[in-house]
Amino acid sequence: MKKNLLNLLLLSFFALSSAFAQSRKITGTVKSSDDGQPLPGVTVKITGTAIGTQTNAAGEYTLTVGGGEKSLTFSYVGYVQQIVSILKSSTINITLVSDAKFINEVVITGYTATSRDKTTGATTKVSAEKINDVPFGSFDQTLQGRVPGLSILAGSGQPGTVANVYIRGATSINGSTTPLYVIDGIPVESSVFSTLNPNDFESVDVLKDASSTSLYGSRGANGVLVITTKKGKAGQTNITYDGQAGFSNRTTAKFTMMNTSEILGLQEYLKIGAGYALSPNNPSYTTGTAANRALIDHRRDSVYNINTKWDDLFFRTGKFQSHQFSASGGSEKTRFYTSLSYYSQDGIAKRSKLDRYNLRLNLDHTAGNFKIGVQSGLGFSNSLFIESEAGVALANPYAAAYLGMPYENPFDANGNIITSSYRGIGVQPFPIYDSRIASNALARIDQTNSKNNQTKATVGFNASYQFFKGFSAKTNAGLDYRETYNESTVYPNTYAGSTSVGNSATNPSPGSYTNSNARNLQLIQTSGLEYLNNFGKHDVYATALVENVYNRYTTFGYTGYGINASELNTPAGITAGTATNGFIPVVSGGKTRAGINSLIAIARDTYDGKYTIQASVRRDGSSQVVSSNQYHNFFSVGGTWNVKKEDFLTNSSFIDVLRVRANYGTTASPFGSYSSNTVNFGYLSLYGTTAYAGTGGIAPSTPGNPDYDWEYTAATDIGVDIAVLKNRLRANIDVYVKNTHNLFVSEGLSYTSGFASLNVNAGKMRNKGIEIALEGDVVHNRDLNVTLFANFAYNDNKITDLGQVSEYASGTSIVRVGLPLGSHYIPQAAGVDPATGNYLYYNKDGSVTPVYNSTTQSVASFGTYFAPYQGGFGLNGRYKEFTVSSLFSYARKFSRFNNQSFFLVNAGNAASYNQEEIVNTIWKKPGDITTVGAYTSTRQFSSQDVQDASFVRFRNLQIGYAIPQSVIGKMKYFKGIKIFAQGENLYTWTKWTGFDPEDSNNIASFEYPAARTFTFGLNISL
Amino acid sequence: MKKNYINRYFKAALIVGLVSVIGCKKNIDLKSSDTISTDNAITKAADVELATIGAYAALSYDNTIYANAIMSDEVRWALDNNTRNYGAEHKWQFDASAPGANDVTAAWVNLYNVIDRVNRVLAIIPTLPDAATVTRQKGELLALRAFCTLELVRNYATTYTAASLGVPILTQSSVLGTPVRNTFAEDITQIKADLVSAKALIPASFTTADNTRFSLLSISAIQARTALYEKNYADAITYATEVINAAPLATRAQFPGIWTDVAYNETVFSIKRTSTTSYTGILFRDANNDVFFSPSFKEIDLFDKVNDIRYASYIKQDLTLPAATKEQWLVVKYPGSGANKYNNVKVFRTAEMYLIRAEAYESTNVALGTADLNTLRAARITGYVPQVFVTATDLDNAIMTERMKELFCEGHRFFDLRRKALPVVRDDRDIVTGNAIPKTLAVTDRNYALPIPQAEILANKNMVQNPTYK
Repeated sequence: MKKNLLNLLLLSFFALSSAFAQSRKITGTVKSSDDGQPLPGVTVKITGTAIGTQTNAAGEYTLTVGGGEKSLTFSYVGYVQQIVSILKSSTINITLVSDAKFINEVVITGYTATSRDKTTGATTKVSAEKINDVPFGSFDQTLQGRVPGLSILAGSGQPGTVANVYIRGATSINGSTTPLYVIDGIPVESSVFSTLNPNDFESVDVLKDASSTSLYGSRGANGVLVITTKKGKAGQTNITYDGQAGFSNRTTAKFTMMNTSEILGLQEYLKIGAGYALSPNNPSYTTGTAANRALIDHRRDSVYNINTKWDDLFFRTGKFQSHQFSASGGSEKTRFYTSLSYYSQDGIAKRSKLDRYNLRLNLDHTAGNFKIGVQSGLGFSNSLFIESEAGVALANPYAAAYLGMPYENPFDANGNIITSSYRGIGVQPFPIYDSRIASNALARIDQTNSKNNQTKATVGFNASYQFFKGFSAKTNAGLDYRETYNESTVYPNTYAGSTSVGNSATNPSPGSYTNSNARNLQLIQTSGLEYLNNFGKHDVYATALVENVYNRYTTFGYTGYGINASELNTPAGITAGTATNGFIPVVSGGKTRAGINSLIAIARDTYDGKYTIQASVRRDGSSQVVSSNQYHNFFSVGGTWNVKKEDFLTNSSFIDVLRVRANYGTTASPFGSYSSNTVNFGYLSLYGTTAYAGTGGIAPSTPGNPDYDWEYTAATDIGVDIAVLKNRLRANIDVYVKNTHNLFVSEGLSYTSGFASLNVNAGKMRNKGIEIALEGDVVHNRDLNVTLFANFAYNDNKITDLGQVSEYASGTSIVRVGLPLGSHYIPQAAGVDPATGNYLYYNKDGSVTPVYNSTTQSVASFGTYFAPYQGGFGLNGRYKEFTVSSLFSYARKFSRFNNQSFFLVNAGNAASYNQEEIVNTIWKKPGDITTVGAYTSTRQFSSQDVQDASFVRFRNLQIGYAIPQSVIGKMKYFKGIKIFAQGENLYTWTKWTGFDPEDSNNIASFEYPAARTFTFGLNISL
Repeated sequence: MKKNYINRYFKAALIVGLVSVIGCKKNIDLKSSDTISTDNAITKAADVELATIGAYAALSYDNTIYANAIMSDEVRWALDNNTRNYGAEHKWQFDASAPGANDVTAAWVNLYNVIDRVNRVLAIIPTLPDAATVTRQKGELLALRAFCTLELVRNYATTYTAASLGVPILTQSSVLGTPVRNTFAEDITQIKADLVSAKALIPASFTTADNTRFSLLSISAIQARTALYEKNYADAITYATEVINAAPLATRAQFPGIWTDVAYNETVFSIKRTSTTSYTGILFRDANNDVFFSPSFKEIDLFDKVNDIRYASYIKQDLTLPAATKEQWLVVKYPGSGANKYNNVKVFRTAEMYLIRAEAYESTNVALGTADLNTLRAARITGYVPQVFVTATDLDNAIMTERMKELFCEGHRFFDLRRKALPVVRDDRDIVTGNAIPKTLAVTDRNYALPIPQAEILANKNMVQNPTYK
């Protein structure tokens, strides 16, 4: 395979030859339409060849062309490419028009590619320069703040982790809310992006409205992200190197933990823990012997002198580097793009890292009416993870670093970590007054291993053949393949090993080795006919397609015990299980599959460039629903009125673009990841396998639902695109309403049924909102360009029906008719009683009580954890060779439960967990006004910990310098060199006091926060 | 020209032709390979055995052990525990909404799950061509249903009196069912009927070496416990005697082996544990060796630590742990770590039968009751001198104490107090550690009865909550 790819690559290089015939000279000047000034550095090439030159500082050029050449191509970044005939003259002066993408860009929906002015839907295109070179392991995070209505909130800063992505709000309560991702026409697995290389992406089209998502029918309701990878262009071969290196650090915490004397002092005051055990006020001290007092004095001195900085032990400065070589080019007939890249990012928590290798080859060949193309991406990644991420678990470094006591000294004199199983190894070197929480976690970093290797291939083949004028037959077939190899080892003869299965007096720390593999294969083929023609003033497009999608998922894993200390991280180290040694390995695995058959028809007619109407119908048949509901039809209609083309506006010098769009369509939400039988066969009443006393058996596993159906969404969108002042001020405004019905509602069952709940299609939900994208060229001349941009989205989500019930609680949130999804549901805190120090809660009648009762006191007055307001803004500027770009993103009006403060501001935990400094203000005597209740009053889940998580984040700043052509020209070897420096996640404005406000879940529990990253980069093109 | 067209159409057809190769109805008519459709899950006798194993697989006694320990005076809040571990239950501060994952309402969910599994199989058995060959499994299933119903009654009946609210009797599976609560007396009647039927179906020859399936003898044990709660002392004596005669008490030499599963003496029924199941010890000691609950000092002081063989098998003081900062007192009956971590859960032992029979004799023959108590104590305590009790009350007090000792953390203490309508009273030394542990749970207090899960109340319009939780 590899060899073939190389051969193809070499062939493509050699194809770039051209012949010279009788030659003549062409000269001319290139000017900008903006200001009429000459444009230096414009590439002038003989069309279809690599032969060319560039304009000088005066915008002039001279080029010798062969006798047979017919035209020249003029191209310059930011301007529309022009092809001019040279048959009639040898002096060609032209004016390049600035490339207002707003008007001319092509909207790619995966099934159609349409120019913006014929598009009826609301889509946003994110182009390569915004995605490339951003130091994120998972490409979805680079889209944050770029697209109005696209909510990207990362729940974790661990390298390579995916974000939570929503388009125009959630459309499901219990089902999937994840958009569909399509790369070059091949749907790819969502939420598995760490092995994709975003530097290969040319653009991402975000489909938000019904007329574009309805093309995807039963998979379209959550929106679609259509990714197009880079393709070669006919002409000179471009060889580029993009490199970047940098480092990541932790951002500053919004709270301060206690130091040793503070926490011990608190304990002493509360008469608990080490602080009291070592207290001179402890009766056992005052009444003890002189020798005992001396011993306690000595120990107190030594314990008070320990002040461990846990952050420094668990966290680090993460290194980052990435390198990419790419080449592209080709002839009119065959074009190619190929790249090879390496990406390496260390997380800010020790051990966490992502290493990735990618290879891509895209080939396109045109032979007359025949077109054929291959897009292939191959990737391999190796990730190491911290343990128990986002878990309130002591193995999670982010929990241990804060819960661990500052008077806990992890090391003995030899630098070995003293864990709670140290006893087995030797005598404690000093008396220990803590429970080794952080030491155990610290030891686990080196005593366990958690590795994830991912191999991913996304390969697409497409062909089309125009067999009659206007009529083409076309096909697109491909696969998305992913194999994940997970390995996690707990080393023997260590503290971590002592907690693994099979430990015994004779073998206290046997260790374990777990290996699991998952393989995901998705096949797709889309074939049919396409018709494209002009009749008079009509511009007609129609297509009819048959599509089949097939998905197969297999997983297999095992855990073995009793690891041989000299054979770590390999199955060879496992001790065979016997009836007595307790080392019987655990084996797991499964298979599942799903298929969709579809018929798709799309028709579009544009009349006189003014009126476009588009309609689509799609019939989906799916293996994932009951046979009585197996087929469903989806449709859409949409229209665009290009007002600018009307007589009354054509001559307007103020308005350059004015379009009005409207559309309506239907879609359904996908059932979720294809990797589980519960999703793929959610309707079946099933028995599963189980075991008792070592013998296999069967037991009911799902109750089954004979009426199981899709969750349907019907959406309306009305939009306006407008550009004024010579295109310098541009705006898109969209308003929409999405009504989802047939929502899966978890209907509680009597437990006597053997099951807790059944998902029935009974609910309704509505999302409505407005999206605005603005762009303005504040300054626009040859040397200085400043463009400001801002986008804003407001989505109002409301549950409108839940079938038989009107509400049900789900953890600390509630699903209730009339409220948005994700509403917090918890008793309202009424502060701390100054008289008694008790935490107080509001009863529903408004009275205040110290008695906590979540059943009767919970109220839904604390908002939702889905941010209704989101967006981004920033600036792109250029002064001569210097460029600057910035991006701020924000999410407003959402709240999350801060589980960190529940643990860290909780005097009841002070004996075992370190506390924030604010706990020093604990209620001590009647009359104290404080927020920290008395030790005797139990801290409960209440609104006290529900915090406003709204934030504005300075997400990216990039400053670049392109070495001038005048310098590069002399160096001969380079076409361009650009150096840049960028900072990521520079600052966050928020009231949230936890680690990181950014997420869209209800509870923040010691999650891996986003790092602040600085990188320096270099782009060279040869 | 014509040929050219044919060529063109041929090429076009070739491109679109892929459709016919891949696209067909087969692509969307898929069957799940990893699961078994309910319709054809049980079609022959062999499937009945599989489904019977499936019912046993769900059976848990841990919830009962948990409720009886945490709610009563058997254990105390251990030094290593922090507020998150079962605090509300131990402090008697919970309402009907689930206070935690391992809360006192979990038994409801678990036991009805087993009953549903049983009922599904029982409904199918008569339709099988070879139904006659599965009589033993049918007996086991009935025994399982009776056992689970008895456990539900013990956990959730408002009180153990005939007219009191019991639990719904379920004899057939229904996904959308909304059953009502039967009375305590109706429940007992159903349990007894199931057990009588089961006894007629299970052959005497059917036993397992480790007694992890219901044999004839274990049904007698269920009958004896049922009779105790029914206060039907004649039945209690009859059935307890059946067990006592067939499965003598372990000797002092054998006794420690019961708890490490090297000996199965006097173990009439236990639930099998393996390294792939949960383990009971985690109720008392976390996987990271933090001790949540320790034997109460009240409990510890009951034992003759030198001569009573039970003490060392049940309770341990780990002196290698630093007393100031780590909890030293451990429930070692379910060790929670080490090779013995997955020891089987002992549900019925002959010792309990002696105690049931002794209690049953109280009202009719104090001497025979005393004899049973003395027999048990003599088997446990070196150099035991038989005691004499004059009044039924004296004997009853002694039996209650002996039950607290013998059946420590075996799922009885809290329910025994409820049977006798006695308050839970903790020792002062047992409420020192931890966060404001109350001393007494009065009979009239909210948490003296356990709540029906709030989710059940919401889902089942016919369900009635226990009165103190309304």
